[in-house]
Amino acid sequence: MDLSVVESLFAARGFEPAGFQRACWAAWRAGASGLVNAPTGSGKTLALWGGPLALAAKTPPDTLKILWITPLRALAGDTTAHLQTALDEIGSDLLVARRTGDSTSGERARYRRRTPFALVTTPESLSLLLSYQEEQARLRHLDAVIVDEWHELMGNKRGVQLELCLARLRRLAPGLKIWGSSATLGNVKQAAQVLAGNNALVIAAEQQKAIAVESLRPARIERFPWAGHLGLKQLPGVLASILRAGSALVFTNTRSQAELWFEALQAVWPLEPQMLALHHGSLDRNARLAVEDALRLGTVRCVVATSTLDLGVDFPAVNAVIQIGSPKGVGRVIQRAGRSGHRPGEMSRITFVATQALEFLEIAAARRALASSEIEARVPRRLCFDVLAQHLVTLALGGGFVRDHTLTEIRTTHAYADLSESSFDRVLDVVVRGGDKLAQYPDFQRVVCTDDRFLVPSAAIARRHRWSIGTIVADGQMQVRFVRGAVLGMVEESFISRLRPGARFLFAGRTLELVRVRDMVAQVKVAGARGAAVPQWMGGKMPLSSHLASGVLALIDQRPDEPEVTLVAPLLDMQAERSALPSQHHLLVEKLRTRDGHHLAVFPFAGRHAHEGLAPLLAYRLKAIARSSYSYTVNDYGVLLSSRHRIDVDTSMLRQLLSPKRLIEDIEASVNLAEMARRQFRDVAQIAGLTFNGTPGQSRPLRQLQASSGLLFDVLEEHDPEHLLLQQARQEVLIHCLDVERLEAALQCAQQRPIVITEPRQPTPFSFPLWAERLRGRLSHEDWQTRVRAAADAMERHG
Amino acid sequence: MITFEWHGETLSLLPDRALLLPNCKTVVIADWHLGKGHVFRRNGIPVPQGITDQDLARIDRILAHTGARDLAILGDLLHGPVEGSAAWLGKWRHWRATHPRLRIRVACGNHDHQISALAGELDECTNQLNLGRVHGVHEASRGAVPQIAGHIHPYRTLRAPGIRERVPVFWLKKHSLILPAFGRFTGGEVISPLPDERTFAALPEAVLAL
Repeated sequence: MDLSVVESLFAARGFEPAGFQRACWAAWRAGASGLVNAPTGSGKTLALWGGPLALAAKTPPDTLKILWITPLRALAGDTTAHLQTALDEIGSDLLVARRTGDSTSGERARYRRRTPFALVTTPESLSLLLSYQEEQARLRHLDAVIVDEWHELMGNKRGVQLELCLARLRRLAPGLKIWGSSATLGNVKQAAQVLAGNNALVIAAEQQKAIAVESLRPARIERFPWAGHLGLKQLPGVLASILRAGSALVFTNTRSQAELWFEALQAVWPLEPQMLALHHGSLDRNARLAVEDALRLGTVRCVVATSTLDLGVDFPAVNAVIQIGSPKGVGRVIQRAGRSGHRPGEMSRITFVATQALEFLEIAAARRALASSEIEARVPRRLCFDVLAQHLVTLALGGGFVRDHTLTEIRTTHAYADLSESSFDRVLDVVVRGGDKLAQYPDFQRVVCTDDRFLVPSAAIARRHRWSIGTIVADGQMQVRFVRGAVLGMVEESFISRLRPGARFLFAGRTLELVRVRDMVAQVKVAGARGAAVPQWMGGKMPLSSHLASGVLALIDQRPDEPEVTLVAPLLDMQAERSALPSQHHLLVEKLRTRDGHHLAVFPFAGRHAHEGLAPLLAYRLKAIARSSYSYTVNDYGVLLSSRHRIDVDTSMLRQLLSPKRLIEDIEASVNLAEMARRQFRDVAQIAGLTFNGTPGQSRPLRQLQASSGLLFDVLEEHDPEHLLLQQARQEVLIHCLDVERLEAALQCAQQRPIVITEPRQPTPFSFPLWAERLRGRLSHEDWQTRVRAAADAMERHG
Repeated sequence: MITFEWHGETLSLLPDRALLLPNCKTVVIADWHLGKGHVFRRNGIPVPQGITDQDLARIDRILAHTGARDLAILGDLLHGPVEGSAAWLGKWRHWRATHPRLRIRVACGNHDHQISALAGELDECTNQLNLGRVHGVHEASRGAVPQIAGHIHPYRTLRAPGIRERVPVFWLKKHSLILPAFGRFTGGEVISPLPDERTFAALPEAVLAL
């Protein structure tokens, strides 16, 4: 392979290739696979595209050689243009095409007429391609698959879907190279192996940009912090930073915060109104693209954004990155800070605005973790039966499959390397017979087996399957649009369902009034006045990573001379005086009595998800000892149990309450697991093709097949409770919603450390935030009908 | 059970999604959607069987409890096509054969395209049923004639701290009473009643005024 074309491309652009780029090209030439670990804006695209460019010189027309996978549909357009430009610059007349859910029918037709050299696509669209037998013929000539931003896919089901597709491609095109790019993770080596096999190389950009972590600090803090209470007080400081910087990105953790900050900044914005913009994943694509373009052109000075911009949207660098709220993890600090100072040698800078006093500790902990390069790992998912069920139908559609070969192929993936024969057959049963209790599913028809070959015989089922392939990411989203037409974006169905017509809410930077809901569309009009509800968003619930949690404890123990630690010193002193400080060396437990009852606060610092499992577990175990009913609240630091009666526990009792023995059994008995599994099933049912997203104007046959995932869950739970997909949903609740692994680690840890019990007379700085939020997330042990009665009574009282 | 007078007719709202007209000894239900599971299975969606058995047992219990001689079904008795070999059809026919004296009347609904396949088991199949002093139809019309109807599958969400539960409801409007869907394998729509309208939760064991 001749790399001179790539060298001359760089020469023409006036750049010298970086070492990691050359290393990548050399590895490519040697036929290796691997992962490029480099931040956005460091030239990773050309590192990965150099090999294909050299290949293009000797590729005949009409041969598909390269698949370029991007995690975000919205990125595909930009990427296609970049890759094509480089191809044009070396004088090639080959094509780069795009195939995503956004592709126009013209693009599709052109793709069918003329095979491009490279195709830019998403995991879903790749899966869709594999469901067409005739497309597979084209994929046989592939030389390489390149997966951009692999870290965004690994760790979720889209990544698993991609692993399965890659296994199929490796069989179609033996010798296929697989490359990827990834941001910095704690487990880059593993990320490379999951993507490209055990021999995968990791090529790192030689110098990671230095990152300065700063914080906006008020003159003094109040000693009783609670969530969201501090943030907006810093508005003048934030505004000043933005104006000083020239161009800035303001990141928030949740969409609701993004909307609030956008509104607040708007109110004090001294420049042209259009120089301030909002960008989050729920906004309509066109609105997002307009913002990205405006920032590129420099007509926007400040963008308020959520995690959508964590992805590689290719912005010109901004001068300042401001983060509202805790980063929750070190990886995110790197990613977000990387948005500033793109010029070589320049430092990335990120300024934090704490939304509550204790977050200053998280900021300081993030700075320390960065300095010692302690970055979180992203754990790849394993054995997702719903994704496998979907994939088997895809294979059955794309020309059919034979059991044994397919099992071997599937086991080449990391996700299913340990898939047992019996589990595989159970998944096969789900798509062939409906479930493994055959008598339960008479007349079931989806995939059939003829002469050892599994096929999809029905055109209607084929059509529906293809239609639902792309739905792994959608989660009960409802379109928001004006009565007179224009689409504003998507919002959670659960949020809209809580609103009555006439209710006001903040969305897309405007105050809207709900007019009506029809066919999965929330019709709205502009409301005049302010003071409205804000949609909540999943991102807000992201738990503090273990790295940062133990970092916070270390800061409390060591009290180093850092500005954030100094700032919260009065708070820590008061905590020490009234109770004791939480520590790495002991477990702090506070017994409290307030006017509204008795409370027990426990501070394992295991993150919100694990605490959501711990709280009901403790309540359940306490209840076995002292009959009483407990409510609870949790945050990233600890849990608070409350009761009308005295909670009488000593150290040895606490150790029993916190025992890791019988953990799963007790969790299952204590949490309303059925209810949680029911919610989780929504995702599972959609991926496995049990439910379809409603679209306006769909034909009746489809409407006849619509049932909510909740209804399907109830029917399955009642008549076939051991159904594989129900088991999958329950498993996901334990592992992902309640983070049982981290909970177990925390319980193990509690057995080894001394337990310090204090009895402060008032809530302490650490227990106050829990106490203040007590009304949320209450636990109830009452049975269903009494719960309903209680709810009805409450409705009566509150009208 | 909640009983009240409405447009000159006595109505008793029963638990488990049924209505009794005590004066004419008639049980009224709507939106059974028989054979829905079968339609799903034929189309590759694994819905376990057993729903029809359960629904038949429920109607048996209601009939036995009320002593009603007359069953009025306000549309969408069926969900989809009637295939001769389907298990639910055999179960329905067997059940019908064991209730020879029960009068069954149906006001046809939008899902009942193939209701004629069940003509042998039904005593009347029309667009509008006489239910004492009021009418029974599938889809309520806007007029001022008092009607009992189905079609909507109304639900409401009950909410209190820590509790959020969707329940099927009877929806009492000025000129119409909308029944909850009888079939257990049916979804529904959360409604927003007007201030002068009332709703009643149809729980398995109780009816609850909201």
